[in-house]
Amino acid sequence: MILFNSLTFLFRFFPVFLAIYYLTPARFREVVLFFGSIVFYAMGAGSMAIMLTVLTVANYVLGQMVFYEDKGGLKPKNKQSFIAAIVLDAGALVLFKALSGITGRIVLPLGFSFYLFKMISYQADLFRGEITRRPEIMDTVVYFTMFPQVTQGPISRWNSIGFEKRDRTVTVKAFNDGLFFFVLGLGMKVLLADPLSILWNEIEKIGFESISTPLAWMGAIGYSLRLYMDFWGYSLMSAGIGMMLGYHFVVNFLHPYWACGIGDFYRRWHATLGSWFRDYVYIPLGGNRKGNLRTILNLAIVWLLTGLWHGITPNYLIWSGVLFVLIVWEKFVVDGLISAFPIIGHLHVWLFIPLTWVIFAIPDLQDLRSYFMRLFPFFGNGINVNSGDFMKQLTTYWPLLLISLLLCTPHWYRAIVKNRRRLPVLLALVLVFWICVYRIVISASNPFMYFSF
Amino acid sequence: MRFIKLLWKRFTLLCILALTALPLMIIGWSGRKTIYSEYVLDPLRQPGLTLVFEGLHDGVYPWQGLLKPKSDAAEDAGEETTDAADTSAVGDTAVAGSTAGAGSTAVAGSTAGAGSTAAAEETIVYTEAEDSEVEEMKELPENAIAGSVDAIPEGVCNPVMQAADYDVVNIGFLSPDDTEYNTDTEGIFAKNGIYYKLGLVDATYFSDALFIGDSRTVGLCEYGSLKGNAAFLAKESVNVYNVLDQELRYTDHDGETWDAYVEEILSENKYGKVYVALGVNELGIGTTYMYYEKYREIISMIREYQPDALIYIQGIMHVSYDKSSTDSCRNNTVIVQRNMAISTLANGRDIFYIDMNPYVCDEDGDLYEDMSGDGIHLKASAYEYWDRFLMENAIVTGE
Repeated sequence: MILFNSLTFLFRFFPVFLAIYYLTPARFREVVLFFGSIVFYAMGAGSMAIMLTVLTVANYVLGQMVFYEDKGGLKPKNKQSFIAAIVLDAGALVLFKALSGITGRIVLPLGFSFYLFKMISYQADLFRGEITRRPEIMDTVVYFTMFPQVTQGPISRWNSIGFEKRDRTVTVKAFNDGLFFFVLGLGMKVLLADPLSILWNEIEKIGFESISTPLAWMGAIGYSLRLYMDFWGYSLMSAGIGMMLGYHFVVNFLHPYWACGIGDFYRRWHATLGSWFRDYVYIPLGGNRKGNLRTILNLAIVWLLTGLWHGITPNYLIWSGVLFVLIVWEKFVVDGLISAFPIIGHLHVWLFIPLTWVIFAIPDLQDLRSYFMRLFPFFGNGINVNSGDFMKQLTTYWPLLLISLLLCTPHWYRAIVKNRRRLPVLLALVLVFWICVYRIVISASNPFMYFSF
Repeated sequence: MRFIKLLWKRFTLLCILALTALPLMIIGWSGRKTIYSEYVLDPLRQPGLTLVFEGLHDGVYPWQGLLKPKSDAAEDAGEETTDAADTSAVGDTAVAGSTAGAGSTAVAGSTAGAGSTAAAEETIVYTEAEDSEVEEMKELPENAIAGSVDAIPEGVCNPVMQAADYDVVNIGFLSPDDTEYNTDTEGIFAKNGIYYKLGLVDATYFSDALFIGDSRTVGLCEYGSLKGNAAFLAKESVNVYNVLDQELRYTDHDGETWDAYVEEILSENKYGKVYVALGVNELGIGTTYMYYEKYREIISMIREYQPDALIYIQGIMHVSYDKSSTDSCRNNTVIVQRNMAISTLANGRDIFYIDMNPYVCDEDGDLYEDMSGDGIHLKASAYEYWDRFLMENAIVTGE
């Protein structure tokens, strides 16, 4: 698979692509981006590129029928085309997810749920008249297939990434910033997330029933940070590449661990997914405008779908169910208290979010039970617990945990971003880049680097 | 000049990246046939500068290429290859040399020495000796049995547990099926017709034992019942190729810990038994034959420092079905072949092959899923099976 943090991408695909992209006259660059994206996708998913292309073309054709000029009601809304498009996109998504879940064998095409969510949002925006200028074919295919987003999102919107106004001129500043965010994201992914993932592996190795309670908590925090560094790092790389090609920065993470409450957390965590559910599910269902009971029901639907979107094993449903309960609790019971004492909201995040990530991480319910029994050892003792396990892991992982925790606060990140054009910061970033390359080279030639036994 | 200035001012980060990449590229490409000749470079997928990083990781530094004239470096590279090819020969001589005497002393030593307290006598089965060997029998230790020098009798070592082959193996990690391993007729690895059978012992048996190994042995130390009784010398990620070159964590019989080299520990202490378990981290490195050769060197080294100790070669524990059916290097096909190879080093007299796999694997030879969290290690709660296996498969040589 061609990943941003692979040598093939860093030193072969991306430099060659960039050179061709910028040597091509501006009006043909979208063609270059489209073909580049298909090559990128096919390198990772082979024949699945055909499905991506077919869905892209189908959505363009249907989208042309859905589009209407909203000036003076010249043309009525084409409901049939819109329904056909939604049935096609949502149907494909449900069909593949269900087949994969039932058989356990059919693998979802790479990035499937990300690009289908984009397609659904595109059709809905067309239908609602939020896209006011008739989309051109190259714009549309590039929007669906663009390689910085095709495999893992973010689920950018047509209007927010720069297609609506076609204001995609590349500036030197944007290019440099894009490169900056790309390297920063690479550092988070390779130097923090990847090594932190070994901590979780260590815990799995010991067996959940045998970890000490301090290690269980360290594992929960370590997993929460690893997930964040991994996904945020990826999102920054993706946004950075986008900027280098002339598109707008897509905000996908906004210091979620600094959030004041669980609801706030999910406005800042994987924000493009959260806002997708808000705009295309929650608000169309009536949002919070139809009374408390309907609001709760709408939230339940959103969180049920969020759970299913992540996977169909029971732990995802428990995960989303717990989040639903927490959000309702915050919204209807302790809302006033959190407004008066924001620290309560922060404590909610710091306590409950790591616990929900543990549910997210462990698909087997028996294992999940064991882990929680070790987190809260009031209900029984572990089996063959070695009380020295916490110190052993802490000695190895404290620097990674500390740096990741610092990056969770907005202050450190903002300080880095603010000084991003200063030479010392740039030099430090170059050092980060080469250390990343070192780690990537070593892990490529030695598959055991991350899993040394 | 103005253009360069402008370029620097406008694209500083890109310029620094390019400026730092350039020397790395030059070093990588110019050294690819000399100092980096051992590394494989696929120019379509990776740039030449990756060679510099691979070298750094292995202690090959760029200036080594500059210090040596080109021809020398080339020769060196050539020599290294020849050396690698000749290792077997060199290894054999060394072993033969050190063993001519060692073999016999080992037998004598074990007779007089060990004197372990164990409940093993009852379980050891003796076979009747041939008439022609009666004279020789007089010289044999009490618990020993006589047999032929061609084959180790049943019950002296464990058989190598077989496993289902899921056809995912990368054959680069295997050696041809007809590869011959230990064919010694003299020296420490040769059989001489005197054997001991495996039997049952209690925990005190391990009070003079040393366990050498990788993270699996670390787990045995941390979660098994032998800590505070046996000594352990183990570290995550070690393999037969690097175990002698780095400090491992030593846990002595009282549970005290410090870092030490294998040679250091072996030369400073005397053990009655040395258990070796190495073989997971090198599943993706080299072939079975290379692994076997290194293993053989390590056992020879242990024998040199510990002439009286019983050496137990522990067969590599299998991996789970999930791993074995999907992973091209960490699978039971490779493990079984490697176990077959190292099991030939056992002589049944003072070097034994023991195989714990029947205690932790299903009928397909796959590690039980519920005994392992990651498919490779035993869970903390499953180390008791390893403990039990060790107690039920031990040699008592004295009375």
